[in-house]
Amino acid sequence: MSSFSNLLIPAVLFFALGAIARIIKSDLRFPPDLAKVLSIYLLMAIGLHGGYELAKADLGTAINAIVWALILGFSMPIVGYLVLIMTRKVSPMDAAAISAHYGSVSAGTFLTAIAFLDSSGVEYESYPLIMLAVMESPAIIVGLLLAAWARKQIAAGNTAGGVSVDDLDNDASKSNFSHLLKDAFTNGSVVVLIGSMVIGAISQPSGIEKIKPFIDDIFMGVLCLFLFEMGMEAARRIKEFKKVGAVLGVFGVVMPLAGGFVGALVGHEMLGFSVGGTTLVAVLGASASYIAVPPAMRLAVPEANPSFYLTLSLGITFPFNVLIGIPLYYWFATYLAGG
Amino acid sequence: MVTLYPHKLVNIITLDVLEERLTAMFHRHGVSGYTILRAHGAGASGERAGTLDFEANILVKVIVPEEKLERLLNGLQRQVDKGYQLTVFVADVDVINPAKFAGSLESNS
Repeated sequence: MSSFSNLLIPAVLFFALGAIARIIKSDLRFPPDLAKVLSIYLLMAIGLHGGYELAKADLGTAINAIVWALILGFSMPIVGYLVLIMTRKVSPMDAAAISAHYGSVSAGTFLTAIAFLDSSGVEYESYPLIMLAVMESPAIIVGLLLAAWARKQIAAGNTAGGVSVDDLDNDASKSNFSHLLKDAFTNGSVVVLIGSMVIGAISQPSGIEKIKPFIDDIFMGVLCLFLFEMGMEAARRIKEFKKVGAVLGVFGVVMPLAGGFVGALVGHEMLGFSVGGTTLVAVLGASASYIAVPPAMRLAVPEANPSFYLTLSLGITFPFNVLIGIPLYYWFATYLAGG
Repeated sequence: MVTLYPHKLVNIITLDVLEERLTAMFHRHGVSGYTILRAHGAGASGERAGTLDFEANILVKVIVPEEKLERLLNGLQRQVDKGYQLTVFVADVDVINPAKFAGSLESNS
């Protein structure tokens, strides 16, 4: 079975090695900030590469891709929120924070999907890369709005006696909100990714050719190192599974499946991408952020329990996507193209 | 014999995402300076290993004369009331140069 053998690519195997190292309690430790360095490199390399390709691409398709990225980014957290509220297992604040993670995207998962497609020799468009950049932020904003709304509902419930909410506090939360909006768009990974894409698009081809060893030749090796560490981080979450519970655990698998399904439909039907490009859009729909969104939610929604959203996105959904999801979305994209 | 002047040392252990907010508060509350260290440990919110960005903790140290303490603690209490996890503890310390702690960050810059 071809999709199974594709699990045996170094990047995925290193992810598994990281998880195993953690489970057998190895003394292996990565230096602090390594994950940060690696993720900056990965975003920069993929950005340069994609920007260079996009410069040759069709503007209409690019705009169409951006519009659909926005639609996905804004609507998925709302769907996630409603589903979570219906489970009755989490507070509205937790639901808002968790759904923000699922509306946003994971560059690590996206890059693993690229490694998967490369190893299978499948071609893909560069448009999904712009979608990756666009989809980082909208879900954070929706998460903040949902949390603000839920907070107001709770406050209204608590002050049914008629005590008004402190005006001064309202002003403070307003200025906080605009601050957080700014943070959502000036987020480090968005700046690195979009900036590198612009540099890749406007640079002389000969200049890009010179840095090819840096952005192409070593890319998959660095991805292995990154996934190695993320495997350890994901396995660290295992002991929190009990706290999360079965219902939320199921959400961590069903939500990416639903998102992947919708993403594949968008990629194939709305954007007319090839099997490779459709797989990547499905991965965008399926993946949950674990780098950009957690600090934003910690700051903006302190009432939410971080062990819920981190365990779900990093401990359940990320490994699920890397090991099972990506081959599955690829299979589904192939099916759509065939039908 | 060096004269010692009693002051208060405010220690805060919290999330590193709150650093900007706390330092802004220090500026507003006339604190003369602060020191921030990266920290890791475990507590009510579980293990904070500090390997990933969103898991890092900070340990903030601020020395203030007694009369500035109340205002600073009120500011910190407001953050706790909003739901942020701050571990705040105050210790008595003696300093040899009280003039250093009398000014504010605004007047320093």
